[in-house]
Amino acid sequence: MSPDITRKVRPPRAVDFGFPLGHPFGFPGQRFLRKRLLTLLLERLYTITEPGTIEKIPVYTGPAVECEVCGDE
Amino acid sequence: MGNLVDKILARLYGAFPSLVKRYAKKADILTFTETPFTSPSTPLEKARVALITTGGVHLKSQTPFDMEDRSGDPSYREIPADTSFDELLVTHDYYDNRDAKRDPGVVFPLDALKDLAAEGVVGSVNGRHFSFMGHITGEHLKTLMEGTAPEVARFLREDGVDAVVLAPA
Repeated sequence: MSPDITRKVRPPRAVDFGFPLGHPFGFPGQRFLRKRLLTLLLERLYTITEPGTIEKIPVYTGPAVECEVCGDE
Repeated sequence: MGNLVDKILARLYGAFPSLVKRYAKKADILTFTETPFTSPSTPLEKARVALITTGGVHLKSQTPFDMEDRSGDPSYREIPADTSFDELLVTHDYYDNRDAKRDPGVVFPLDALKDLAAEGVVGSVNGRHFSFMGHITGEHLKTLMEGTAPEVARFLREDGVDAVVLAPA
């Protein structure tokens, strides 16, 4: 997901987890992480009240940084 | 040759986010000034949830998205909720899809959504989900905006879906 493209398209709400393009739900084999991300997204349905908001939740900050909620499988 | 260039570019965009930033700034991307917005009336634990991916995911039995048309493919594929990942393929040359091909859940988290329904976090998983190929330009934009996208929205409304998660590849 590209926040720059998303800003142009203006969906009702969006969350930027920081993953590279082609990885909106992380990397292969991370089913538990996907669940966490999906839960975070769905919760934003109820907490984001300003149309077009793109909330940044930096789950992934780069390959050199360990992600605490990743890789449980 | 075009497809090879697209695949190389896709890998570069995946590896270097700054290139995506430059692309987003310069490319002729459809830009909206307004945002449709609805507040959910159903609590999450009772909500029926559907997925839409733009990752080019489709069933092996379905016609793949058209990679020959340089303007993209504005059609969609319906994916039943009981589909397993080994029944899926990814056809989309415009992003680095190697990981999505290894595990479609990277762009289409149906497995995780089923887990959330089983745990009672969401009410239910809709019976069908939808996939687009997220590279649509030129004359195909009209088809998408006036044809296929409203059609999918109508299907989801008919299904009684409360929330849709869009996963842009």
